[in-house]
This record gives sequence, C-alpha cells and structure tokens, in this order.
Amino acid sequence: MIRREGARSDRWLPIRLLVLVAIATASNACSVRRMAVEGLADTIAGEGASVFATDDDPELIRDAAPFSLKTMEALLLELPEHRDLLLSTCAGFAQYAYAYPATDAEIVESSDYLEAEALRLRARDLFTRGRDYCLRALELRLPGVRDALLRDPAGALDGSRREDVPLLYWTAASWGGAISLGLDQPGLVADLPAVRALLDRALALDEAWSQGAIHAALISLDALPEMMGGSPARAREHFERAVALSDGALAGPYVTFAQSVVRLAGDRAAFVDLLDRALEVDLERDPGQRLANEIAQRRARSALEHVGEWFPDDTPAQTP
Amino acid sequence: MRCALAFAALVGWLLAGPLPLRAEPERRVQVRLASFVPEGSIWDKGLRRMGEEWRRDTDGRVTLTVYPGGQQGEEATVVAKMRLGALQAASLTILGLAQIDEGFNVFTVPFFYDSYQELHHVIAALAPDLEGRLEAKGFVLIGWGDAGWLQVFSVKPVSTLPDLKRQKIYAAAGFDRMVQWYKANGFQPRPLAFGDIPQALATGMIEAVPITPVAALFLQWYHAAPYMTEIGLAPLVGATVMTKKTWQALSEADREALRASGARLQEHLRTAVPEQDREAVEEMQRRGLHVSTPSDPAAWRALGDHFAELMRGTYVPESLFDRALAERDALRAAPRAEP
Repeated sequence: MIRREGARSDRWLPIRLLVLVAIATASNACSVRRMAVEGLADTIAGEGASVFATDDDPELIRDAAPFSLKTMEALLLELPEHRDLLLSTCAGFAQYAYAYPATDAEIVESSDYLEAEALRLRARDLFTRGRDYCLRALELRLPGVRDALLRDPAGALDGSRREDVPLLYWTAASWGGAISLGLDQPGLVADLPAVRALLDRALALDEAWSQGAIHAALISLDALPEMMGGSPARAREHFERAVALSDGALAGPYVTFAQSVVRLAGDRAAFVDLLDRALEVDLERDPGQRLANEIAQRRARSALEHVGEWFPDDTPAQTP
Repeated sequence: MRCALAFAALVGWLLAGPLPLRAEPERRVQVRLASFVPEGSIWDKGLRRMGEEWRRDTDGRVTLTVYPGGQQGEEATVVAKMRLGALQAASLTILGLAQIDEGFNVFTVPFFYDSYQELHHVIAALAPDLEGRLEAKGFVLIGWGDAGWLQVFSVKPVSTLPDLKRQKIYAAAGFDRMVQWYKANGFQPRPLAFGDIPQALATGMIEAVPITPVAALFLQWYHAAPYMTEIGLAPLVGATVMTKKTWQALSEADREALRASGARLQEHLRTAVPEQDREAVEEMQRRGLHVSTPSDPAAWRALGDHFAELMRGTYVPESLFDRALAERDALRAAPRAEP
C-alpha cells in the first residue's frame, strides 16, 4: 500500500473497487461472482495499492487499510492460489505493520514502554501474518522452498528468476520485520539466515529494483553486530546505493541508516544530519512515495526528539 | 531602630505563622544503564520493564535509560565508565562482575552445579557475602540474572572426553593460567577474543566453543559447529549493579522500590531463560543441529573436580569456594521432597 513497483495513479480506481466488491459479495450466480472476485483480486493486486501510496493523509490510511487487508483475505479464501493477491496481501500487512503499530511503538517508547511493547507485539503478529502469505506464494512458485529455507537458505532460492524479485523482497521484508520485533522468540531469530538469503538473491537478480528497496532493506541486516554477520561498512555501501538509486527522493534510507549503524557508532552529529536530510525530502517530489516518506519523516522527528537519550556522553547525567 | 526592625520581624513571623520544618528536597535520579544483551531480547525487554516499574513506583523520581548490545563498550570499559560517573548502572556478565570482584568466579567452576536449583541455592547463600564485597568496591547489586547454561558446540561429534580433546577449543584470551591447565590436561586451547570466534570457526582455527544454546542460535554459530554435546559445562550468571554513589542519593523508599523490581526481573528470568535455551535447541535441531550426551559422564565429572581444585584459591577465593561447596553438597544430601 505504500510502495508497489509500477504503481500508477488511477482516479476511477476507488469506484471500480467498490463496484467489484458489491458484485463479488452480492451476486448469487457463480460464474458472475467468480469473474467479479477475480477482477477484484486482479485490481487490488495490481493498481489498488496506488490509492494508498499517494494519499496525503496517513491517518485516513491508518483507518482505511484494515478494511482493504480484510477484503484481500476474504478474496484469498475464494482464490487461495492467486499469486499476485498473495503477494499484495503480504506487502499490505508488512507495510501496515511498519507504518502504524511499529512506528507508533517507536514514538511512545520513552513515555510509555508497556504501550510500546503491546504495539510491537501487534506489529510482529501482522508482519508474521504477511510473511505467511508471501511464503504461500513462494511455495507455489518454488515447491518445497519453505522447508529448504530452514536448512539451506541460499540453495533454496536457486530456481527464482528476475520476475520473482518482488516476492523475494516482500517475503524478506515481512519476515525481517517480524524477527526484528521478536528477538525474544528463538523460533523467529533462527530464520535470520533465510531473510539474508532472500535479499541476497533479490539483489543478485535485480539490484536496482524499486528505487533501491533491496539495498535499503540490507542496511538493517548489515547493521547487526559483526558477530551476527553484520558489517557497518557494507551497511554504509547499501545506504549510499539506496540513496543513489532513489535519487535522494526517499526518506527511509536516511532514517534506517541513522537509527542503526550511526546510532550504534555513537556519532551524534551524523545522526542528526541524516535525520535532517530525511526531513528535507520533498513529499511532493514523488507522489507514489508520499505516504512512505511521511511515515519515515514521522520516525525521523521522533528520533530527533530523543537524541539526548541515545547519546549519553553529550548530555551530562543528572546524577548527584 | 534595631528594636523596631526586630519587632517588625517578630510581627511578620507571627502573621506568617511558624516556619515549616526544612523539607527534604525531592531527589530525582536519571540512571543510565549499559548492557551486553541484544536490543529486544528477553533480557533487554526485562530491563526496560524494570525501568518502567522504577518510574512508576518512585513517582518518577528514578528514571532508567538502557544502552543495550555493548553500545557503551566492553565490560571493563563499562565498569570504568561507572566509576567515572558517566554511567550509573550496568547489567554485567560474570566477566564484568569478576573484574570488580574475583569472588564472582565461584560461578564459573566447570561442572560444579548440576542444576539451576543448585545454582540458585548457592547464590542465595552467598549473596550477602558477594553483595558486601561489591559494596566495598563502590557498587550495589540490584538483582541477579540467569543467562543460560554453557554447552559445547563443535565442528565434529563429541561422544567422549577424548573426542573433545582432539578438537581445538576456544579459550577466553587473558586467562593464561586457565589455558595452561587446559593444556596440562590434554586439551588444545586456542585463546581468542570473543569477537574473533566466528572467523576462527570459519577458518578451522578453533573447532569447539562453549556457549549457551540461545547465544549459539542468535549468533548462528551452530551452522559452523553443528554438534552440541549436552554436558552442562557451567551456568552463565549475570547481575545488574548500580554505583553506590547513585544508590546513596536515593531515599530508602525508592531503594526498596528498585530492589523489589530487580527481584521481580530476577524471578522472571529464572523461569524464562531455561525455556529460551530449550526452545533454541529445538529450533536449531529443526535446522540441522545434532544433539548428544557424552557416554562417559564420570570422566567429565572427574575433570570438573580437578579444575575445581585448581581454581580454589587461584581464581576463586578459598572462603567463598568452600562455602559454595558446602551449600551445594548440603542441598545434594538433603532429602528430596516427594513430587
């Protein structure tokens, strides 16, 4: 709903969606109903995302997205093997989880930790739900891949091709989101190699996909401690490439790099500079990224408010 | 004139009523705590929940900010920062605790404890002594924290003690005497910094490493060392400590609130950590880990007894060692309650 490759603006789309929903739910004639369901699924899985991505009111999307997600799930009951719809549902849940409960958790963290924890738990469950739709689509594309990802993550994806990149990316994004919020769950942490394998494969197939989205995701993965396979140098390379491929029009890479590598390195000046650059991104420049940029800027503003907490050496402790 | 001023002052005092007794100023303390556990892990979440309780139970007089994942440096650096006042608290592992006081090495003796029950019994018995030793060095213990139980992860299967002796095993750098003991007992220790272990496993410089299952999963080391020998080498113990200077700035009621919250976290970890280790083993087994128990447990126990003798009076003060031994043996001798 926030970022879909090739999403275009279609001002008649909401009306078409409503008509299709009405037919799909009301019609008794099987063939008509089936056609309507498939048409709705195709529309939602195709251009439907753009009505969310281009919206300038994140709160409207907060309220509207759950209905859309439940519609997708209802359609999947009818069309359980509709690959594009599985992918869109996966992406929709992942983006909703990231944009709302996970971002809200960051914002309330310092004032209400228990509320932040509840929000993160909800976000984790939504990421996991999205991941499961992606894995269903991936299993249709590469039978046996789910089990193979457990034991031989890299080899499991050998059969994937360039057209699978969106599916590889969203599987990794939803799975990685769940893991990042579930580091107290051994069953989730154990799947980190699968996430890396998915992103490595996607990068090898189409490095520049979706304005550097794969590089942006790899910033977080390479920001992990070196003992866990991370590398600050590689994370920086991914950050720079993500900025180059998006021509600086995306706020997300600045925020992710600031909150991971730069925060851990204790570099307050670079941290503030990166977040300022995120806030300088013009929301009008790329309407298709409008909502994603708004959410990233919301995170940037929250991070700047707490800069004193994260860099203790710069602000003397109020101790006796 | 002076009489008039004195009179005016007296009238003013009478009109204003008696001066209140000098109120004790409200003491607000911001505590910055460093930890070595990953952000979002069970330990990190526990510390943050504890911080929330501190704020709630002291009406906001004590606030806690947690810096997880070793952001504030190695354990020795964190201890030094606490001494300088840059940090007010830390959740240390046994390495950091033993740097403050070697008495904490009593929890590192191999095969000394058979179970969490024994470990917790000895902790309870020795806590007053150990807390006193810490306090003498400028720190106050807020709560203990279990971090799991060390098992051996190896590149090749280990069924017997000689199997392990044939593999190059990680030893913590800086413990030269321990390395010599390993060698004298037929092992092939390779002293390394902890951070160098992944590379050493990848290149074959080491073939076996003692680590908790949760850590083996987190760090993904079980891919390179896919054989776990369930020998229960030693518990990994930690504790949250605060500088005495910060502690003394708190009111007695606030200290009580902090201690109570620390105790709740301690109890939570005692339940949750063994469960995490168990789950970690299950998840790693689903992904290719082989788990076995040694076929010669008596040989391992004899080795443990030998190392215990060597550590008594060298790494562990004799008085604490003897006390721990007596407490452990008393528990072992006590009649078991009927299930």
